[in-house]
Amino acid sequence: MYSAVEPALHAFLRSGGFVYVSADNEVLQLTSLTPTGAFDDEDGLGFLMGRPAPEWWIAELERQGRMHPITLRVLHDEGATHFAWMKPFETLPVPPDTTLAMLQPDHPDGSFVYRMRSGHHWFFPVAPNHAARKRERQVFVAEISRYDDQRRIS
Amino acid sequence: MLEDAPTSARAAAGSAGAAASSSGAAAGSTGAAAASGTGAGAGAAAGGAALSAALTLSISLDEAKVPLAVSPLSLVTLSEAERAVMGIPISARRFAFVYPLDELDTALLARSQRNSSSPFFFKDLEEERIAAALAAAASAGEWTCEGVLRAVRARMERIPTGARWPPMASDGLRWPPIASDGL
Repeated sequence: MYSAVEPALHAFLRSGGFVYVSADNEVLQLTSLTPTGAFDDEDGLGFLMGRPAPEWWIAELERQGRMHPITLRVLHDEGATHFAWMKPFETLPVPPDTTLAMLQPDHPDGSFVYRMRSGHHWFFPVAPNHAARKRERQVFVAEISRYDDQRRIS
Repeated sequence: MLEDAPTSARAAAGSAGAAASSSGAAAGSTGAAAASGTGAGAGAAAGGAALSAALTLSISLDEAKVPLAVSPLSLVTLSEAERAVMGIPISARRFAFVYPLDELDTALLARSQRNSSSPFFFKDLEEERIAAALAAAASAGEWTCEGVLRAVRARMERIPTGARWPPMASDGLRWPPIASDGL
């Protein structure tokens, strides 16, 4: 028998989601992921603009067995092949043989890391609130406008 | 320390967004609230790589095993007001991310119309096909939606927390499969 819970459950199985537990470790709720296409929807949690993810992050996450195949079409169409959830404040162990200053993710609320077919990988920090997303988007748009202006002048 | 700050849903990559819908697992009831939340907050510093390794859970479906990969638990630090807006239970204290059931095709949908040539099987699945496959599994006594919810809950309840969390191998800790009949 088809019930109202099934679409959400399907999304949960197909796209993943979050599980919330109580202080007694009782599962209270499953929260599934469903595409909306809305960048600055005020009702839900969102993500900041994507940041480049160094290749060594991807390699380390793969080494830990944490990269999972993309299951959302929209992400696949954007060029993503695999992804991983990174916990808030999480850092990755730097490769032992490196002498470079290795960039660690800045994501106080966690992030999703995407491996891209192009080789230019991305991560998207969770945005704590709508205002932060909107502010960053305004900065981004302003930077793009300034870049366009400079191109026109030159 | 194995717990961190919170997060939740709405995956977005570039222009793609993902809203969250909630289903009340504990009560078996449903919510379709397009919301979820995260908490800013202090949370503990993240653990090392070993603590970050995903857990791999398995649910037995006859001879098939369907793994659910679950991240370690993190603290939810959203305020009560934020949780209310996001549809997160006020009593929630920790959360984890559950990865997509990427072996669903082989375990549950083997007899459905699978496009074996596509490496991205899930993206080609429509809700109707998933529903049909789950319904078929349910009618065969293999798996029901309620069973899945109970399986997730049962597995989560067995995941140790805090200092009792066991060390994990770099490739994740494999938990023994559990039979749906035993849930």
